Amino acid sequence: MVTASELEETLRTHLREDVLEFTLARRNRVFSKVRNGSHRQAVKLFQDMGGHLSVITSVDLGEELELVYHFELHPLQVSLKTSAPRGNPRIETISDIYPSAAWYEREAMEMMGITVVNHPDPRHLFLPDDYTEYPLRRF
Amino acid sequence: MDVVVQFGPQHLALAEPERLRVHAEGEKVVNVDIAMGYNHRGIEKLAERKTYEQDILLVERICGICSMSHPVAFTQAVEDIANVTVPERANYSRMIIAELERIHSHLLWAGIAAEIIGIETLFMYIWRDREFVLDQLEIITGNRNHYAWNTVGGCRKDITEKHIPGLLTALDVVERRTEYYIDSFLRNRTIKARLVGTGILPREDARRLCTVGPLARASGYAVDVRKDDPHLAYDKVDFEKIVLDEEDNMARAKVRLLEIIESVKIIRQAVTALRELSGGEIAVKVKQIPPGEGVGRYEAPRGEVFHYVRSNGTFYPERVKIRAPTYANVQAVPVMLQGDTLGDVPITLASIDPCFCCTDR
Repeated sequence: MVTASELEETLRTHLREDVLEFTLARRNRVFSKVRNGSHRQAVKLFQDMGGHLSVITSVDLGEELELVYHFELHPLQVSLKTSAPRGNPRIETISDIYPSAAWYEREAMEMMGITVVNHPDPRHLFLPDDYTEYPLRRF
Repeated sequence: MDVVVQFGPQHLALAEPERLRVHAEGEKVVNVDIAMGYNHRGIEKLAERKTYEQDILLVERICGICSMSHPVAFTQAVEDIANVTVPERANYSRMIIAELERIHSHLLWAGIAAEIIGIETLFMYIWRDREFVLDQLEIITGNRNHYAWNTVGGCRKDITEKHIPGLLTALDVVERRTEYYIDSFLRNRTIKARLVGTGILPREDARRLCTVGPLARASGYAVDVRKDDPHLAYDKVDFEKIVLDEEDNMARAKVRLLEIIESVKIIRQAVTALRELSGGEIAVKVKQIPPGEGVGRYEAPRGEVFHYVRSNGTFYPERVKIRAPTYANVQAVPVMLQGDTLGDVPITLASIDPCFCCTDR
């Protein structure tokens, strides 16, 4: 059992000024944004707390592309965000920490065109192999 | 020598298209490569082009079986953004429909499992009894699937006193028959020979691969959103979380069949509560969805359905992310199949109760 204030304290102790946002919403939903690169450290902390990775969402913010990692840290539901510039959207993989992230990252790569660095298997998952567009991007 | 056997995209054991490339040494499975996407319809993109009310009906159509679970998770996320509290009566009636869906989905799975094992008589019997539930769903909601029951802020229709006697009779029948099927699955020699000790998913792997639903619970990984993150009225009814630690295909069959009995218990309690709340509101009016984000989770028959909705204050959502349970569970299939024989591939794949139209969206 971890409370939102404990989680915020842990994140701020380890990541310091790399924690850009931290909000607690209704029904134990936590939304937090961290600087690109330090998300791996946060994910490792969540793993030590016994976190369960639900899914990874990719979002087009216009200037930037964002990945949202959804974790269950009982009783909290944590959404950890990190973003990279649209021109060079490189975000490092977390599939070595959570193996099930590999497929979610493959989906983010093909649908949103985010380059997941050090991914073990960067093939397309849902789209045909020769498909070159990124359908979830906004124009 | 390494031989590659193709299962699918069209395969007798699968109702939906999906391709498994099974690497085998003789009869023994060495590795499995899974290809998805034969059912991809771009629903996440489509959801950004429709209003919230239309999206409820859209996410309902992701899957024919989980057609209550997806809207419940989606409305949960949107109601969180709008900061709306749903009336008690709507919570109970949503829960009744969702649990009826769980019963018919688990019976559907048990029938398919019986057919894959090769006992067609059992398949016919189980599917006959599933009709009792589908009939009730049709009487209450107007449709066997795709109930159009939800709206942002509550329900569109109501369960009234005239529906209840028939519902309770159907529950009695289903409960009695399920007890008989539990007995058949536990005692039949053929079923035992096919299910016991095959498709083993060790508890540590279930946790490491973040599996959900009956697959996780049959491997001793006790995750159930109904207990862990209670929504609707699940914190007000008394039921058990079925967790077994046998880790094989038989454990998954047992978890599902025992859950039917728990669902019957939940519905009976919900009906009693609904009678006490008679005449109450079934929906609150929601005018506009403010900017914000919400996460909706619901324990569908196959496991946790996850919806993430981001709103920008307009009539259309900015982003809708949908994660169906099979998407999380199918990544455990290579682990489950390793070391088993080729003949076990169909039943082990079926044991996760795969739904590829949910996974591909």
